[in-house]
Amino acid sequence: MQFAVRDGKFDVVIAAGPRVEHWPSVGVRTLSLLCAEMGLSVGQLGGEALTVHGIIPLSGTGGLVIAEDIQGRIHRIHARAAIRITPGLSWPDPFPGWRSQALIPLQTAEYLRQKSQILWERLTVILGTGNRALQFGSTLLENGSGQVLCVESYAQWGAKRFSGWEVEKRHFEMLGGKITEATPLEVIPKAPLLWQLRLQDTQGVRVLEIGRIVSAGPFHNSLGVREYPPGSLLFEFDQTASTLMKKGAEGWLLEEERGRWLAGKIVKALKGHLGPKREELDTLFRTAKRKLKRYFRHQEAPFTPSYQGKWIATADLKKIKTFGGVPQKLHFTQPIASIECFEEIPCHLCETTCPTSAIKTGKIPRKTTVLTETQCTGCGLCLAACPSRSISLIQEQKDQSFSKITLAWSGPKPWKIGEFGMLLNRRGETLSSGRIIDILNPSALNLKKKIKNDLQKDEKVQLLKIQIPSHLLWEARAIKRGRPSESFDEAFVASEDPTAVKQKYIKITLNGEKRTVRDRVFISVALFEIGQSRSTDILLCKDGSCGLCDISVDGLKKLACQTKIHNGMNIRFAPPTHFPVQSTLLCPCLRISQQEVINRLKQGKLRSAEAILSVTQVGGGKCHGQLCMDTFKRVLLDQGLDVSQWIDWRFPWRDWVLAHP
Amino acid sequence: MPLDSDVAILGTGVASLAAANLLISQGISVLLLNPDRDFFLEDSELPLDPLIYGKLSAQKILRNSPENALKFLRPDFPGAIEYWSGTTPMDGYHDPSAPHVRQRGRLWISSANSSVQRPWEALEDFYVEASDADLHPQLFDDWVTIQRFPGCSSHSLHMKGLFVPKLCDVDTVRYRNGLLEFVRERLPEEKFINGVTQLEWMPEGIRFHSDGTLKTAKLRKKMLAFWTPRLTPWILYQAKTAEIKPKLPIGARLWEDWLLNSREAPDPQTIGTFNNMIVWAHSEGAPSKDSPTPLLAILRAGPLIQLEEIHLPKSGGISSDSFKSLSDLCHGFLKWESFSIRSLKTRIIFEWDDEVKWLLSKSEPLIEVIPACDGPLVDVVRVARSACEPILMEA
Repeated sequence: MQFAVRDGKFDVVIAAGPRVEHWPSVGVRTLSLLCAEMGLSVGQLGGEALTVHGIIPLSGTGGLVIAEDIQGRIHRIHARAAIRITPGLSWPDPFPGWRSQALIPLQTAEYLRQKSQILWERLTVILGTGNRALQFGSTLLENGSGQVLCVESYAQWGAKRFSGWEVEKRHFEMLGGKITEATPLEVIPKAPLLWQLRLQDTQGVRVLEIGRIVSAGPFHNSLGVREYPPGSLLFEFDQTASTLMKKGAEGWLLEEERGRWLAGKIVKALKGHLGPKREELDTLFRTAKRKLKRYFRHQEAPFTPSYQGKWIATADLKKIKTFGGVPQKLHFTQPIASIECFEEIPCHLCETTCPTSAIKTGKIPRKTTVLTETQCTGCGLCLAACPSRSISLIQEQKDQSFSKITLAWSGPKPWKIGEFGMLLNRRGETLSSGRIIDILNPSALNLKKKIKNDLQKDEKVQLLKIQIPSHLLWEARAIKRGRPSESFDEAFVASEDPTAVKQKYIKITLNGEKRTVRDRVFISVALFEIGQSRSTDILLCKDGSCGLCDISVDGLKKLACQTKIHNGMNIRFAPPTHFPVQSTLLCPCLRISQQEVINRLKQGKLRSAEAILSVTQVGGGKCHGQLCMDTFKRVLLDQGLDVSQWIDWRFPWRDWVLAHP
Repeated sequence: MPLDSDVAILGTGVASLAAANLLISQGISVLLLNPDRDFFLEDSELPLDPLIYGKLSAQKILRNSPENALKFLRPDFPGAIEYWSGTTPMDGYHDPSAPHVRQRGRLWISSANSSVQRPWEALEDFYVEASDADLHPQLFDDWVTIQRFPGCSSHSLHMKGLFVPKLCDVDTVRYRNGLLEFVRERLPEEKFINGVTQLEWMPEGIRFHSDGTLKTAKLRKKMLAFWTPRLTPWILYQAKTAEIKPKLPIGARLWEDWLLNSREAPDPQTIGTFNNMIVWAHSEGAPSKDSPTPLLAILRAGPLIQLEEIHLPKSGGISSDSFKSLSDLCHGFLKWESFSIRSLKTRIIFEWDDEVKWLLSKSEPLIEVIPACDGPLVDVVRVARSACEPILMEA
């Protein structure tokens, strides 16, 4: 029979929504495990073998999950509780030019950075100053990007002070990144890969020539789990964890706690009698709820040192030197880890990495970092493990001109013994120069297999032992090359590591014109690199879910984000190629502006998202709301509608193509 | 008391708004109550009469003519209703936010070698009746005419068809929105209440909760409850409490509202019927063949389910039969190699054997349940008007 539908049934279905970055993530695993342990049947639907097309809510509770397997068979699964996992997108508030190809969301930027170094040579402006924004900025700077400016343009300055923010900020600034408060006014295209961004700050209007704007805000101060309609047991669950805990400890731990909390809620709703397990579940639920609350509580920075010129004020330096993670005695005789992580953050990577248990961070979130000096061997593993580079090995040589410090460093151009570099303070200001006297390789140590694997999975971290003037031992915490780092020396890097940048260039025909592009990259990436990307390419979704980047390849219709380039390829853009560049359209697929939505809302005194959707059709276009729903919800919230828990359950989540069987 | 009124109207959809509008315009004080958060959650009004089930008759067709639709819709609607007569693209379109009635022809297709489609003999019988009623029907079996079917591009079809030139569809969303805006303006804010819970009656009036507070209202005449699918749990619960046997519908028909990406711009002037599916060119406002993203709307009649089955998975729709029907249409008839689904909505609409009003209370105040407040919009407005007529006569 054509398109036979197979029926299935689970108590709980966890379904991968569009653009899920990895499957199953830690929250999904936690949620599944706990529900299964409590006797519920759980289905995890997602991954490469199974594409979930959507959830159809049933009257009452639960829904029908419609999925298609790799063989094209359709599955209709009845779920008493259904959870959609979604990675979310961080769009700014609309301003003229925000729909141009200059502005890309953070997820796209992260993907492009992995696939292409070429795009980040000019000034990059990041809209947003949350943890992920700062982490991305730090990664760019570590990898040789010229300048990165993070712009806080949303809520009040203190709103982003969530768990770990101070650590990320210090890391970002230490690498030379700048943070400013301003509102974007307009983006104007100047040339391929060059735009002009006008920013309004307290001093007036600033005009910047930029290579790219990355949208990484505003910061969402929410639990990350929504249920809509209330009591329906239909949830949306934010995916915040990366593939590795190290790439964002707070996102990882938050997702894990969120999984525990939601499991508790679902089990309570679906299981009438839990017997002796009831108490266990209650404890789990309460603990997770408490931890989640604590993560989201706005934190006052526990300690931000004040400066006198480039130097930390004496009183603050004293505070640093007496901090529990900083060595007090033994660093005069041997290299000892100095853990300058003053904040209460949930990360405990240093503790789990330390082979001698010298670091005890305590419960998460920790109260203090404690280093047992006598147990520290100075192996440097904690340096390599710390994603925010808050740890260094110090060896103070009293009464001598020079002391030694070991710093973790990663980037495309490795250091060599004997090289000189510029020493930077905790704010990224140049202090003096230092010489590399040794380079440690932590993965060569005799370590536990798991730790070794983690280190090898990581980027190439070098532990640089640097000889520095003794008076800078408590000031210098980063190093950079004296030469401007934006001149990314491809030839040098290739000579150091032949696999790193060795690329073959090929010829293609783009809209009738010959172009030279890198071989074996996706068409979208190639278009970004040669400055020919369209505003419809910006999502670069790995699963091709938005369907916007239609392209004609040798006469056949393809998606640019899913098709790899090859020599002689003939590519034509399928119209329409661009959204209007200077527009402030909210829903570009259907050409609906923000003002139109507000007008309809006010005219009809509409009080719900459904009402506004039915009169404006926002999100009903080709991308199924992937470009506009985040901003749409924010517009409604600004207008006083309570839509913080609302979920758009329109079916399907993406255009669903069914070929003749 | 500020909530005291002549009539209380309880409903979730267009029928209650139409009734409120009519009564207000005649000077009768109204208290409008909606158990939903707003009037956009009810989704049981159809833009057109499917004309699938039952015997086709000239009388049915006449009821779905644009003239008839305008006759019912215009007098009660507090604003302009645009009318597209199907000649030029912008003909009749002046106000983009006004609801519209679009005149389109209806085309029934029958395959000579298929047993599942509407029997050709029935269509021929209807052709005779429609000719007598001056409906100008056309019978044909040439591919040029069959190409009028929205989305059809094949040249080698062996089909027969019946075409009736003047029927219509109505923009339900804008109609509801227009009524809603007007009723909101005319009714004092405290008498327009969404999110009503725990509604029960007491001597001379009703009491209910809204925004967490208990409210009471005296009713001088009665209360009208417009029975739509979303109001069903309340109606059945109240009937059970009052020990009254409700007059139930035959069942609930599951309708699937598909939107497909069309390979080519479909003909906006024709609504096609193929098996249990009604197919037309989807457009907002004036239909145009030049839309950059042509879409094909398909309204498919699903199974008839019992009231108690509404909460079961089958009410979610999208079964094997759904895909088989779509495949028959797109692959079999329209000859597309593949089709792309843009959206699917499912809705439940009751089917009634006998549309008789009944009382939900044995004592004062009278609570009258009005059935058949779902289905084609024109019928919904007609039902709402007839429910108000006794009150207007009395007044």
